Amino acid sequence: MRSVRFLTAVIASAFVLTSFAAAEKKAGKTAEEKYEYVQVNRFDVGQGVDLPADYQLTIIEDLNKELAKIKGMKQVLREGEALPEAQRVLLVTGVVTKYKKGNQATRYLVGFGAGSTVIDAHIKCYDATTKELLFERDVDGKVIMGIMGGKSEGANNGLAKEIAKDIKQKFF
Amino acid sequence: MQADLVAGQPRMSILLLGGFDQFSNSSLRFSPAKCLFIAALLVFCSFPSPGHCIADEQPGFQKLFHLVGIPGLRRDERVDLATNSDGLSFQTKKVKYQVPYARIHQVLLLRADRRYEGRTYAATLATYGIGSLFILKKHHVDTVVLDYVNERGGKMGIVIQMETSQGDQFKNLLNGRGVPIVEPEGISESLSK
Repeated sequence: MRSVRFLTAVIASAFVLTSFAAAEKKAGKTAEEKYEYVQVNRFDVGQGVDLPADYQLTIIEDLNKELAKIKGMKQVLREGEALPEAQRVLLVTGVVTKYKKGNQATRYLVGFGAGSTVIDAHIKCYDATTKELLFERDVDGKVIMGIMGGKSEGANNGLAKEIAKDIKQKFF
Repeated sequence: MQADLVAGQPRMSILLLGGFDQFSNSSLRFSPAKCLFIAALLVFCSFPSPGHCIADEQPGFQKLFHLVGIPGLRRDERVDLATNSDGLSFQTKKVKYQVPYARIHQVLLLRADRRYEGRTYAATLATYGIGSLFILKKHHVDTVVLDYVNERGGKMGIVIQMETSQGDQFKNLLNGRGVPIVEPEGISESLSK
């Protein structure tokens, strides 16, 4: 009976400590790194990368949509829009470093990774006011399989989701 | 006078007037006022409706594929595009979104292909799997990339796909409005490959 009580007490105290640690971590982020406004610039295309013109736009539109879903986000600003006064704004830029066109029919009929669409990008996050580099990372979006092979634009969406996930973890 | 009025009208009106003479002594009697009213109604119905005339003057593009950019619309959702003196108006049952001509920076027109997964799926089911080869069939479309700015000066974009015939029509329409159109040569990439 005593051992059961002891075990319960240990689990409860561990839970409380974990909760405190998580709260402290979140509070720390709030004080130092939290942003409520994000400005997304159109991504550049690396040398030798044959990215279709419509993809360049689709990536940004998908990214804007994904960023707008983040809890605590007040506004996603477009390139060219005036920054809000007295507010910290996170500036997101990126370069598409690799693009593999892929083929939906091959994905559907052959499978095993054949015909996959791949988009790689290198993103950088700055403080829009101070221009200080806060975060940079390589991200990718892939379509390897899906219903009827999966549509290739899923790669743009995957890329946008990954970037939004990183930004959420780091700054929100 | 009555005969002149209905000369070009369908057989029904002639029968009615004929009936008036034939059955003038019978229980089926039509007053001249009634005949005139019916004839006038038939003449009115034979003209095209005013709404139809307006639609002809302002060409629209039905059932385009929306890929990205219109708020509140999903990818691959169908959208109608109407043009008026102010700008382009994208419409569905739920959403209406207008882009003024003055805010359009550039329009890119690209040749592309689409694949219809729904048809492939149906063909696959109907033919016990052989129909899956239908995925190889491509449907040529024009991809329109609309580059514009919002009211705050922020860069925005809309990507839609339309039939190639509609693409030519759309190009002519925008040329008439003074909107710059760019057609990069040799590009046959597609979002749907």
